[in-house]
Amino acid sequence: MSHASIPHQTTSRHHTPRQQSIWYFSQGVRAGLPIALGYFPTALAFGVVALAAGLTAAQAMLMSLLVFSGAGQFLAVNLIAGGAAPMAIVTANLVVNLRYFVMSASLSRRLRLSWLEAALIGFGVTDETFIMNYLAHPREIIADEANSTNADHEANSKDDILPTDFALGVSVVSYLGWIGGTYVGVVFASVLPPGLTIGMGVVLYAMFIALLIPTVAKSLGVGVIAIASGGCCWLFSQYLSFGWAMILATTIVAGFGVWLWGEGVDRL
Amino acid sequence: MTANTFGVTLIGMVLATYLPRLLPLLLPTGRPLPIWLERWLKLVPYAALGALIFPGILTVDPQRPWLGLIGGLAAILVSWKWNNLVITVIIAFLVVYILS
Repeated sequence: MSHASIPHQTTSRHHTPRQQSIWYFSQGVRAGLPIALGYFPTALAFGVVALAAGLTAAQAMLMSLLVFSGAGQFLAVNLIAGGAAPMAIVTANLVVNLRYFVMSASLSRRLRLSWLEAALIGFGVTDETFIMNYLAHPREIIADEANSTNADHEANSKDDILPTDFALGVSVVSYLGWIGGTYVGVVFASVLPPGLTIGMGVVLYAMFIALLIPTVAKSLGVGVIAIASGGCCWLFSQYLSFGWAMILATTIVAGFGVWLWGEGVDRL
Repeated sequence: MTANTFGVTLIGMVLATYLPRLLPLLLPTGRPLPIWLERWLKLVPYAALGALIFPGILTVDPQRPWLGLIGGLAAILVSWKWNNLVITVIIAFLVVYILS
């Protein structure tokens, strides 16, 4: 994903706050378009997998409309297919979604939001929209990449606050991609050949891998943690249901990671 | 899963997804967490991803566990090389689709 930079000489060209607001929003939509294009086939796969797990088309749509979280939704339908209890599904979701807490906390430092804006922006925080908003924030980019020579970033470095309408635009277009993909998925699921459905079963894991690998490439310690956690999860799943095995492995291995790695975690 | 069980699950999922996204935006900015908690929250996503990928990936086709493994290896290589979610997902999908 390329670095987004928000041109900031807008006040001179756009006179009313409303015009400027619309301009920022459209910039956000533009930045979010690649995310929406990526979400569409992923959500389509979700629709197919959800129906295969025994959900109705309406249930799958409702989940995409109200939850808007790829990892969480795929995880839920996998657990539903395995006959897991609601409590295990919700707890597993919470564990996977703790990363949103970290992302929102990071975003909160550069957004100035009313309650209503927080309610909207908060709903739209996903891994991809977060990264887009994160990269759109010039100071972080410079702090993270000492070798960055892009003049745009330096020109923007005085801008500390991310325009709310930009973040909103990113989220809205991504959300539409997610909803649209789910709709097409549940509508066409029945006409797809079985091989395609098996192929779509791997989409979830490819997505998890794509979330994990960029950080592993920067810090092999993260790879060690992921492998240890996967190993523990496999071990625990011999005695527990998958949902609980996953929750237990995650909390324990992350705890050991903090204990053994200490300050190294801060550099991630 | 009955409609009622699904309803309960969905409400729980909405809360478990929306609250972690929303609360940090509502709280006063910059309030620091205890350092150990901040580190733990930072590592949890990676540990969770590890536990989600393995052993689950063996069940992509329960009769042929290697199918998921090969798809996963393809995803690792592609993601490492191009660092792009869409390309990773599409290639892993194609690899598994062709082999199945």
